Parts: sequence; structure tokens; C-alpha cells
Amino acid sequence: MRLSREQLVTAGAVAGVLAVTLALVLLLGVSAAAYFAVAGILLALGGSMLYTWWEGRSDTSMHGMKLRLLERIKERIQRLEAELKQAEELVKTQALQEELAQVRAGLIKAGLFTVVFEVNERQLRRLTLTATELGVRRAEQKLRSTEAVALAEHSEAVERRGRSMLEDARRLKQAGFRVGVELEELERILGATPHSLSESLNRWERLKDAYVRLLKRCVDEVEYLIDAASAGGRKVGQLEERLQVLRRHLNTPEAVDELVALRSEVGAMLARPFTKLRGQLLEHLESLGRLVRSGGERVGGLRRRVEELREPAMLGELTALREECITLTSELLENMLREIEGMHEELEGFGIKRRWRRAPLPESYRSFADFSRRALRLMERLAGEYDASYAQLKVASSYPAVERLITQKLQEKGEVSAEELGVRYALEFMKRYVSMHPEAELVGEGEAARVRRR
Amino acid sequence: MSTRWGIVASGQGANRIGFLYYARYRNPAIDDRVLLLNTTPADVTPEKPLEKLFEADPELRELYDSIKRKRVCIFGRAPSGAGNNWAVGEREAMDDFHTIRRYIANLNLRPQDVLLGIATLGGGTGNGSLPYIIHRMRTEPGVGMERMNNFLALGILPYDFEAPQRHFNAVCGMTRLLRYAGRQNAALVILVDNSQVERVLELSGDGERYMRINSEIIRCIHMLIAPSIYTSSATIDIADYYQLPSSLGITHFTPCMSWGNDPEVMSVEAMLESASASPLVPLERGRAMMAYVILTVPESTVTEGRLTQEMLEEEVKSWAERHLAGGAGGLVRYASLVAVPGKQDVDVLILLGGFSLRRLMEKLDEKYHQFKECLTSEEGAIERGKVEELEAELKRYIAETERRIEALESQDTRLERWGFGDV
Repeated sequence: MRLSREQLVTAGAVAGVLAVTLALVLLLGVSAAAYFAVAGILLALGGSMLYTWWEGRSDTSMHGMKLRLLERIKERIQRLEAELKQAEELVKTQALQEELAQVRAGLIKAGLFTVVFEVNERQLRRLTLTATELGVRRAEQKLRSTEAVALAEHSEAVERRGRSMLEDARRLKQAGFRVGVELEELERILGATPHSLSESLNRWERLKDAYVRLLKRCVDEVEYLIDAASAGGRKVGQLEERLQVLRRHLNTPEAVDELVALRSEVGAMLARPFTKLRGQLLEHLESLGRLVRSGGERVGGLRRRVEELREPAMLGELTALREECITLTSELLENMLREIEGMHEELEGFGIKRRWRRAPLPESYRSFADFSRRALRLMERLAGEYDASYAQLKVASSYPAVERLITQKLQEKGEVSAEELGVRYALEFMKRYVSMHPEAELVGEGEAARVRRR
Repeated sequence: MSTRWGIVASGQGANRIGFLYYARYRNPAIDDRVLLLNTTPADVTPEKPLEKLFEADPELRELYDSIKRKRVCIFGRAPSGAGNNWAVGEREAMDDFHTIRRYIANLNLRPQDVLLGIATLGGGTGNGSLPYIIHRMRTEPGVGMERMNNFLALGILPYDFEAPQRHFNAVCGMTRLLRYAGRQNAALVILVDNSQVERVLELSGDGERYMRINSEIIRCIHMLIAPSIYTSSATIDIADYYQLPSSLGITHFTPCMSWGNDPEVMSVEAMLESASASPLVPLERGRAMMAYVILTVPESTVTEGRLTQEMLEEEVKSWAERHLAGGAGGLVRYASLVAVPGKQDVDVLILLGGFSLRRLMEKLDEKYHQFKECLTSEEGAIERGKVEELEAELKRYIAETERRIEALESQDTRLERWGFGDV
């Protein structure tokens, strides 16, 4: 007969106690042995209680492990069931759900779960860990194969639907909608490969979100264009109604067609006024750039910004630039006037008074074309006066030095030409010289003019 | 390490110019290295010559007081100063050279730096002392001091209307600046005639004219130093100023200036013509051998490529072919384009060198001889023998100058000299 561990431990303990008691009696007397006996009994009681507790704990750990295994498989089954339900939006999952039901049934039949699919604790205690693991493993295998089939079907469906969305997005972009960013997002989502059913489901949700955002952006764009057309005096009532309808039925297959059609119609409304205004602005800025004497870089900058606007849909932006153009032109006219008046003041310091009447700036105008005409006419007049004043000022301030030069050259050679003088405004200098030096005269004209001694 | 400059201004007139330069231009190349030398009678304060400046601008007095202790040197022992007698001025400098040397040492100049000496040549103190000081500093400066080779001199000639003794002083002073004890003295002698400055500036006889003339002179000084201060495409270094003239033995120059030229109106050619029409001593046109041209221009003119060093040199060459002796552009020629931040106009300085001294001597000759005839051999007077020596020295110098000018004017190409056959 083979003794259990407990039996062997007990036998050993009893023998040991008896031996020690005998030794104590022989060596120390009965009272010592009595004390030892009491202590020994108490120790034995405590030890056996401790042993019993420890033994019970091991049993609990094992049970706990089995429980955890079953909880996990239950969670997986429930999750997969939920995902399959979600996947029904795109694929038929009836067969797969039935397979799942079979897995449940198998686990119940194995005694691991009750009929209400709770863990069968009573039965579990009788089962070994190994048996439990075996049952769970079989169930997991089934789950894996079910999920794989679901993933394959679902991701294929997502791919199909996603391609269709992408095609719509490209069509909308071609029609002129600014959906480049949204299109890229769709491409990015479609480019990722899902590795689980939940990833595939998530991918589908993101595709839907991105697509809806794209469509809403297109709707907003159409609304903006309709507003621009309305601001331009066009009748847009019908278009507005169509847009309201479209907002309510954005999910329909016809939504994209309607968006394209609406954009095209509004764009056609905007094309002519856009082209006309753009042309007017560019012509005005080109002329202005030629006439201004300072601030030309601002004119050039504004002109570049106008040139960058090429789409009739940008009529709103173009209109804003028109206002900017009017403001800039007015500023430049004011600046030019101030500079001319400044030069006139300086000329008075040289005893020169120019005849000049300050012209009023254009304050009211019927249209941009009207403003442009009046402003450019005034700018041309100012530019002429600016150049004349500038030249006169340069001549006045440099005259003493040039006068000496002319005098010196007359002394050396008796005459001097404009070219020999080596100065700008040579003719003006020479004219002034002869007006102040009666001993000299101006002969010839233009580039051939020269001063000589009489 | 960049060249530093110092100014030694000897005599009343030079004191005014030197101090005015210091006050107007805070020049980093000079810093506070301005030394004012004077002999002065006991009852006259050293700042007396500057009183008029202080009246015009009281802040100048404060500035003067701040430098007085270490930059104003009263030398000599004579109780009555030099008394318009250059020989006395010279002797005072000789007798009290150790005092002068101590003040010069305090300028803390290195051997490679430049000392610009200024003297009005019509007087006694500056005229007498400066040539001697230059000579001593170049030959035997004394214990603890190194020889200085870079000693330039600015000599200011008297007005036409001034008395004969001032013209006499000027001839002697000019000669001694050029040649001293039988050898070359200042590395470069820049001559400016007060009356010529007056003519160039078209000044009438109003009280402000002296101030304006002095202002013109200090502008010239500033332009001379400009390449050392600002960015220049080709720096005219101090060695460039004097080495070649020294080796030729012809070291006299005069400034020709044109200020405030509008670069939008005046071409470089016109600016050079304008400057060369205004030399600051009377001279014959087309009879100069050397030219240093400095153009100070707005910085943007250079950075935007509207004027480059190469363009300037081309223009200067063309100008020199028309205006320097010989028609081939002269013997020595440098051009420097200096870009000055914040400047709006163009200033031109042409230092014209080795010009014929004929017209200058025409101005000085009559009064020189008038005074020379009155020289006695009384004690304190200038020795006639000394004067004869100086005269001979100047004649030799003038003869050499004329010879070189004529050689340039008659120059033809003789390739046979190089061993080529008949061309």
C-alpha cells in the first residue's frame, strides 16, 4: 500500500514527538516532558491548519485558470458575434453566425458552459485543466476560421464600395471642386490592408466619414458660388432650392451627378463677369505700374495676385482685389501729389516757382472702369509734372557744379557739346547756362546742341 | 591690423584746423590721437587760438577741456613765442624736443601707423617746428621711440594779401618739409593755398570765410583717410601714398576736390573733371605726374553694381590721359572706390602730385624776395647762409620736377632700346 504524503508527514511527526518526549523524561524529568508535550500538541494543531489552508489555495488557482480560459473564449465569441452583426451592412453573415452558434453549443455540450452560456462552475471543478484547455482550443480554431472568412468577404466588399467612392471623388475634382485633400484621404484609407475583421469594419467607417465630409464640402462650395453669383446680380432662386434638396439627400447615388450639374451651371453664370473684371484689373495695374514713380513693387505684387486667380469661382476673391486696387491707386495718387508738392517747395528754395494746379482725386465713380479711366488720366498728368519737377530740381541743385564745368570747357576749347559735358539733363543745363552767361550761346538742337563762346 | 592715424598740428592756425577736425569727425582711424603743439607767450592761454571756434560752438570748449591735459603741448622756453620767425620756432622745437617727443609717444602709434603733421606755413611756430619734428622722428627720435617713416605733412600757404614775411616763411617752410638737412623729409607734402581755396569756393570777404576754408581743408583730410575707415574695393594704403613718390624724390601734392555730386546727374567723368578744375594751389593744367583718386559713394551704388572698381579705374585712366603730363596717364596713378553707408551723394578727392611749381612760385616769388632783401644778421634773425641753402635746395627740387615732367611730355616709344630693330 502506498502512503500519501499526508500520512507520511503525520507518522513522522508522531514518531518525532515521542522520541523527544522520551529524551526529555530521561534527561530533564517529567515536568519538562509535560511542557514539551503541550507545546507539541499546540504546534501540531497550528501546523495542520496551515497545511490545510495551503492545500486549499492550490486548488483555487487551478480553478481560477480554468475560469479565465472560459471567460476569454466567451468574450471572443460575443465580440465576433457583434462584429458579424456590424458586417451585415455590406455582406451576408447568416452562415457565419450559425457557425458561431455551433461553437457555443459545443462548449455547452462539453459541460464548460450552461445553457444560458454562463460558466458551469460545478462541472468545471470536476474537469481537469487539460480537459478545459482542450475544449477551449477547439472552439478557438473554429472562431479563427469563421473570422477569416468574414474578413475576406467584408474587406472585398469595402474595397468595391471604396473604389466607387474614389471614382465619385475624382469626378467631383474634375468638375472643379476643391477636394484634393479629401481625395487623398480616401486613397490613403483604401491603400491600407486590414488584418482583422475589426480593422476592416473600422476602415469602412472611416471611408464613410471621409466620403460624407467630401460631399459636404462640395455642397458648401456650391453654396459659396451661388452666393457669389447672387452678389453679382444673377437670379439664383432655383439653384438654391436644388441645393436644399441635395443637402437632404446626400446619401443617394444621384447626389454626385447633381453636385456636378449645379457647379457647372453656377460656373457658367460666373465666367463672364469674372473674365471681364480680371481683364479690367490687369489692364489698370499694367498702366499704373508704368506711371507710378514710387510704389511700383506694390502694384506688381497686386498684379501677380490677380493673375493667380483663374477660376470663375474665385469671383469673390477677385472682387476683394478690385477694392484693394482702388485703395492702392488712391494711395499712390496721394503719394505722388505729396512728392510733387515737396519738390515744388524745394524748387522755391532755388527761386523757381512752377505753375501747378492741384487736381482733385476721384472720389465717386460709377464702376471700376470709370474709376480706372479717371484715376489713370490723373496719374498720367501727375507723372508728367513729377518728371518735369524732378528734372528741374536736379538741374537746380547740380547747376553750380555743372556751371563750373561748362565754364572750364569753354575756356579750354571754346565750346562744349552735351555729350562732352557728361551729365544727365545736359540740354537743360546748357540752356540755363546761356541764360545766365550772355557771353555764351546755344547752337544746334537736341543731341547736337552745344554751348560756345560768342 | 588696420593702419591708424595721428595728427600733430603745430602753431595757431594748425591748432584750429586740427581741433576742428577732431571735433567734426569722430574718426575711428584717428580716435583721439590729435596733438596740438604751440609756443605761446606767458600771458596768452593755449586755447586762445581756438576762442573763435568756442564762440561759434560752446560745446567745443568742453571737448577741448577734455583733451587739454594730454593733447595740448606747449613747448619752448622763449617768453614771447616764435614771433612769426620760423628759425625761432625751429630752435624752440630743438631745445624742447624731449617735451614734444613725450607727447607724441603718448599717441601710442606703432611704426606702421601714420602721423599727419599740419602747419600754416606763413607763421613761425608750426612752420619752424614741424619740419624739424618730422626730421627728428624719421632719423633719431630718441631713447624708447621707434623711427616713423609714415610722416605726412599738410602745409597751408598764406593768403595772397598777407605780408612778405609770411610768403618768405612759406617758401622756407615748404622747402624744409620737402627736404631737410640734404635729404627727403616728409614722405608726402600736401600743399594748400588759402587764397586758392577762397577762389575755388567763391567766397567773398565775410567773417565766416576762414571757418569755411578750414572746413574745406579738414574735409580733405577726412577724404584722405576714408579708405582706411570704410569699405573700399581697392584700398589706397599708406605705403601706396608715399613709397613711389619717395623713390622718385618728388613728394609734393595738392588736393583737388568736388563735393556733394548727385550720382543721378553727374557721370564719373564729369565728377573727375569738376574736381580737377579745382586744385587747392595754383598750378598749370596738364603738368602733373601723379594722381591718387578717391571716390566716396553711397553704399547702394557699389552693392547694386552701378559703379565698380574696374569702371572707376577705366574712367580715371581716361581722365589721366587728358589731364596728366605726357598724355599717357601720368607716372603714378591709384584709384579707390569707397562705399559709405548712409551717404546719398558722391565726393571726389584727387591728390595731384608732382605738378609744376611754376604758378605757385609766381605767387610766392615777389614777396619772398622783398623780405629776403631785408634780412639782417642781427641776433635772433634768420641766417642768410641758411636761407641760401634752402633756396638752392628748392631750386634743385624744382629743376628735378620740371625735368621729369618734360621727360614725360616728350616720351616716345623707342623699341630699339630693347634690342628690337627699326619699327
